[in-house]
Amino acid sequence: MRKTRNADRDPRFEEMWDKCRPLVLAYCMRRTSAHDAEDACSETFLVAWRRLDDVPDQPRTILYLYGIAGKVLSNQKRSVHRRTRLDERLSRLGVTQPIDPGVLVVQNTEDEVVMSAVRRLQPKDREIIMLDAWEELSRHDIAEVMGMTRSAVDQRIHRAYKRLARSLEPMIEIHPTNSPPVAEQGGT
Amino acid sequence: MTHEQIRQMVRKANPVPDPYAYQSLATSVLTEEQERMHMQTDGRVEVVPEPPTKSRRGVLLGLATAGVVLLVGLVFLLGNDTAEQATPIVTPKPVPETDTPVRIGPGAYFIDVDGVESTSLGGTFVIEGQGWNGVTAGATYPDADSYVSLLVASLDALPDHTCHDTQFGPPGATAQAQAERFAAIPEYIVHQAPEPVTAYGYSGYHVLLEVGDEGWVPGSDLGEFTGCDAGNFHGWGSPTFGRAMAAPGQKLELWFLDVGTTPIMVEASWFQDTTDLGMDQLEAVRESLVITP
Repeated sequence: MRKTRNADRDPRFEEMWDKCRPLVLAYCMRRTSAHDAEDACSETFLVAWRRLDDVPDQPRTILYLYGIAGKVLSNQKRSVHRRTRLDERLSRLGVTQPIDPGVLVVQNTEDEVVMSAVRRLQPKDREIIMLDAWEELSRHDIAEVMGMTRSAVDQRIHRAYKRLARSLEPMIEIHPTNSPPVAEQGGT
Repeated sequence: MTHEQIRQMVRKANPVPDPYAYQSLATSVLTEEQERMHMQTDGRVEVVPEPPTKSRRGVLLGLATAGVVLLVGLVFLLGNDTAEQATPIVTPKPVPETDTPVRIGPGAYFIDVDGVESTSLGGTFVIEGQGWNGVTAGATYPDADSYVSLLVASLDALPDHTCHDTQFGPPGATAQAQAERFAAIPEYIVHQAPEPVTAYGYSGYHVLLEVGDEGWVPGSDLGEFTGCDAGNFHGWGSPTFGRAMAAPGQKLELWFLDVGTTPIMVEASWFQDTTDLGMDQLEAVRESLVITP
C-alpha cells in the first residue's frame, strides 16, 4: 500500500520539482545570497514534500511554493544574526573573487540606487513590489501568495510605488527619462 | 514619474532576470538519490540526525584534546580538595560547520580557524551548560533580545568601510597590524585603542569597539542594516567564516595574538542590555579557551 501511495506521490513531486525549481531558486536568489538561496529552495521543497497532499495543482503550484519560500527565508533571517559567507559577499560586491553565476549582480549604478530604495521599503511592501516586478505575478496572485485581500495588495502597491518615486526623484532629476514626471493622485 | 515607470526601473534591477539561466546551480539535496533515501515511505520527511562530523583532524586534534584535558584537570586539582569526584574526560568535537547557529550541548569544541586539515591551528573551548549554539567560527548564546558570542578566527580580509562602498583587503600580517587596521575601520566606536597584551599564552593587542548606527533603521531585525550596501554592517572574513555585525551598540572585545607566524583573533561580543547571566556564560567560555598553534 505504501509503495502504491508513493508511486503516486513521486511523479507528482518530480513534476513539481522539474517545473517549479528554477522559479523557486530564482525567487530565493532575488532575496538572499546564493548559498542561502540554495538552502531555502531545498527547504521549500522539503516542506512541499511533507504537505504534498495540500499542494494545489498547476498553475497554482508555484504560488503555493512562493508562499513557503517566503516563510523559509523569513526564518533564515530570524536566526541569531545574518551572516554570509565571505566569498559570496566579496563576489556580490564585485571584489577579487572568481565570478559565481549565482551572484546577485547589480548591473549599474542606477540599478543599485533602485535596489537600495526597494530595500528601504517596509518588508511587506518590499515583498509585494518584488512579486509584482520580478516574479511578474498578477495582483490576484500576489494576494494569494501574501495571504491578503486583493484591495490590500492594491493599496500597498500604490503606496510602495509612491514611496519609491519619492526616493528615486533625485536620480530621475539627474538622469531624466523621456517621459515627463506625472503627479501621483490619491494614495494612503 | 508614473508607477509603471518605477515598475520598469525595478524590473530592470532584477538580479535574476532569467530563472532558467541558473538551473545548473545548486544541485539540491532533493535531486540526489542518496538524499531521497532520507524520505520515509509514508510520505513524511524523516528527521535524519546529522551524521557525526568526520574526525578529520585526527592526531592533531588530539593535541588540542590533551590541552583541554590538562586545563580541566588543573582546574579540578586547584578547586576540588576532596578529589572524590572523577576527573571528566573531555574530548573536543569540531564546532558545526555552519553559518546558521545550531544547538550544541555541554562539552569541548574545536574551532579550525584555517580550515586546513593538516594543521591544528585553532582554539578549543568548553561549554558547561545548556543553551549554546555553534557556528563554524565559535559559539553564541541567546540572551534577552540579542546574544553573546565567542568567535576565533584567522583573518584573511577586512573591509575598508563597514557600510558603504565596501572593499575588502588584506588584514595585515601581524597582530599589531591587524589590531590597528581593525580599529581604524569607519563606523566603529573605539572604546579602547590597540594596547599590548598577553592572552591565552601569546602576546598581541587588545581592542574594545562598539558597532555604530550607520545604516541602521530602528526596529530592524538583528543583522539587518538596511541602509548599508547589501544590508550588512561588514565585519571580517576568514578562510572559514564571514562575519557581519548585528546591531548598533554591539560590543566587540578583540584580542589579536601572534600565534607562531599567524595572527589569530579572538572576538567576544555582547550588547548594552546583555544580562549578568549572559555575561557570566560568555566569560566562562572565554576563560576556557585554549589556543593551539
